[in-house]
Amino acid sequence: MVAWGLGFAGTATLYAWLPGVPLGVSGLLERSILGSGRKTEAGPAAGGGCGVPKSASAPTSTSACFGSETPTPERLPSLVFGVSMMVGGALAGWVGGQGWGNLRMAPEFHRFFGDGWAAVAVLFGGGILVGFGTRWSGGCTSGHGLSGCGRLQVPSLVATGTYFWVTIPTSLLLERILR
Amino acid sequence: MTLLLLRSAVPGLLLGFVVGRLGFTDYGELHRMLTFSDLRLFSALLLAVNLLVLVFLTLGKGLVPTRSTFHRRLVPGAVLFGVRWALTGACPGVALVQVGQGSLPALASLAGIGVGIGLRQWGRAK
Repeated sequence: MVAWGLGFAGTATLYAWLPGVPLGVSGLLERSILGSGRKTEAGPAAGGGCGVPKSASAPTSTSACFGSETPTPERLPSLVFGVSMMVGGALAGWVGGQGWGNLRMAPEFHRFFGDGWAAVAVLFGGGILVGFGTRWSGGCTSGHGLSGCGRLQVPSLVATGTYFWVTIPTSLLLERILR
Repeated sequence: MTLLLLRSAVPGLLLGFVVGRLGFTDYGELHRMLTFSDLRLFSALLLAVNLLVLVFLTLGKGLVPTRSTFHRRLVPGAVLFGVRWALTGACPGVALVQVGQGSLPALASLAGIGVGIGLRQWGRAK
């Protein structure tokens, strides 16, 4: 993974890499604070993320709100984590000067799926796939991709490789067919 | 209890803010990443993962409670996830951040995610 990243550096400028630092620190904070004391079944969850917490008293994180197959009695920390992510998003929007109540996605999305109910149906249907898929595989981008890969967990590397190998051709197909 | 909640709130706030500011909540940015027309987010993701690898390799054992195991749902779940990621550009955490940023369409994603989780729970219970 490290060699892969170093090789990639040849094609990316330094400014492009720098945002990875706060993202990595966020992931580390999530893993080291939320992850301590947790025992899990699936890859990413061994330190938080979208996993399957087995420790009832430990806090959960990102998509433990969503990804936990085994309901735990302690849901409050997950709820607080989820709400905090929303508040963090609100702060990011405020700092970036985004207005609240935006009815549109990025132009690319509407170029592919149009406006109105068709777009809403794609979002809702896609949401069903992600909710089901996240629970099924025990993780998502932050759980498997960030924290699981960060800890070199083989199941997370497999899951991350799988979804990248599916999502990249799908995106390229969208670009070619629906543009 | 307060400490427990703070331990959930602080990482949540930071992750939500960083994910939102970096552009992971923007469908256009993600699509450009996945079609290789802009490698900025790929680079950020790779650096973040490499940073975590280095930290966990040097300090890690105490920070990582368990090792993980394979389960048979891993790959099919990841395939579903991959299709969806290309379609809507949101994972559960990102959908929450999008709602926080004021994106009303993200509410449809979030509702779908709730239904998907419910379906999985229902299928598991049967």
